[in-house]
Amino acid sequence: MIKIKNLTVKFEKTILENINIEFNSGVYCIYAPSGRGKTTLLNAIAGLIKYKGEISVNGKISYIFQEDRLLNWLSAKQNIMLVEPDEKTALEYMNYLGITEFQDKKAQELSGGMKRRCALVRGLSVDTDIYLLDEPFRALDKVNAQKVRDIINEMATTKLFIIVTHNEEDFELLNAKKILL
Amino acid sequence: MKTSIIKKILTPIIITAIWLIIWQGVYLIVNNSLFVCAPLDVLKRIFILSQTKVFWFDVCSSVVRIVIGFILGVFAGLFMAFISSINFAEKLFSPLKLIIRATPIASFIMLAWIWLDRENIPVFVSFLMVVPVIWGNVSTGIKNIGKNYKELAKVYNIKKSRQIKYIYFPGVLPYFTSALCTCAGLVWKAGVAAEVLCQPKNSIGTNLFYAKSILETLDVFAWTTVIIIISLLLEWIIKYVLKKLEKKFLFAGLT
Repeated sequence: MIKIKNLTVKFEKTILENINIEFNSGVYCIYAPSGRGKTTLLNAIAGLIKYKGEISVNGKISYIFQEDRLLNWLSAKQNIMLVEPDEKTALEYMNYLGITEFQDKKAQELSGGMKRRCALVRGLSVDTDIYLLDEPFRALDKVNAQKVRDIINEMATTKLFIIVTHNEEDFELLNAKKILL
Repeated sequence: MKTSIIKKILTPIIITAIWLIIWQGVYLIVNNSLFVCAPLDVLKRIFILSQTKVFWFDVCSSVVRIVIGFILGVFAGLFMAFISSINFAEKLFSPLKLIIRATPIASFIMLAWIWLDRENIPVFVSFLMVVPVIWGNVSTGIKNIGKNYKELAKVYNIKKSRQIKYIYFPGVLPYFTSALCTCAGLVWKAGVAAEVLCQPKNSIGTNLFYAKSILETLDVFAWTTVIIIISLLLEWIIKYVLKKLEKKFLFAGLT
């Protein structure tokens, strides 16, 4: 689904150099210490930054950013619906992750965990082939983190998930392929 | 509930009363109506003036001139702000914004006096007061939307119309509202100043000038109070209309 050849990203210094990876459906976890270019790799795949090399993407992308990027003036539900997701799936996930209870609250009134759940539902309910997730379990409690893992595991049979995480436990829980940068 | 309504009504009444008492105190201390008039005398004078047709005609003429300048300035400011969201255009036009901001209003009035018919000078001056404020504030609003939301829109392929309605419009609205309220005050100061200097027929400024010429301080106070009332009224109307517009258009159809 994604082929990366000789990827090099430089800003003031070189962030990624000569990266070659191929991703097919399933779950991939990218692991590296801070500042090694995990987010940069996702940004390059999503076409948000300039790079040298080749990235061929076969399918549409949904990207759950490290920051939630919710619009403060919209409610939780409005933030989710803004990206025109699959409505049935969105409502199902909202219910599953307990967003329905606070769906009409403005984003600026939500706690960190609530915001993260909204960002996850927004990204996961878009009907695409490739999902990029940057630290998806940040700010989530154990119960909700497990629910998100369940969603990912269920979807991953036909879709590709590339997940950036700091938590080594996630590799096993997600039954993911590990990629070290 | 009742307490909050009482507070909402009582607080401004009490504050107004305090300032009227201070004014009355100053009047009593100065004790010379050539310099300071009593608030009650000013109110009485406004009441007398308001019973004449000329008063209303003069007020309406000034309002029309200044509001036309204001509206034209708002549209021009918005246009310049959107044009300036293009990097090159911002660099090209920023000296123009700086010049308009830095030039004293008196210079513009004098220049306008050379270029234009005296009836149109307040329109031109009001226009020039509004343009840089709207331009500057809305430009800042557009910039503050930020890279993060632009990336979000790109990744999720959010349609341009949805971006404008749900990201840009609400993001810029607070900046636009605050600019409009600032302008509502500024435009009256500048517009009436232009009227005082150029004395177009039937205007508040011309009345103010004549009152000062014959040392009719009570009339100066009365006309100044009228200007303040109209300025506050304009600000209130702007806030009310924006609130209604926001409710009607902002987030309809996104549930």
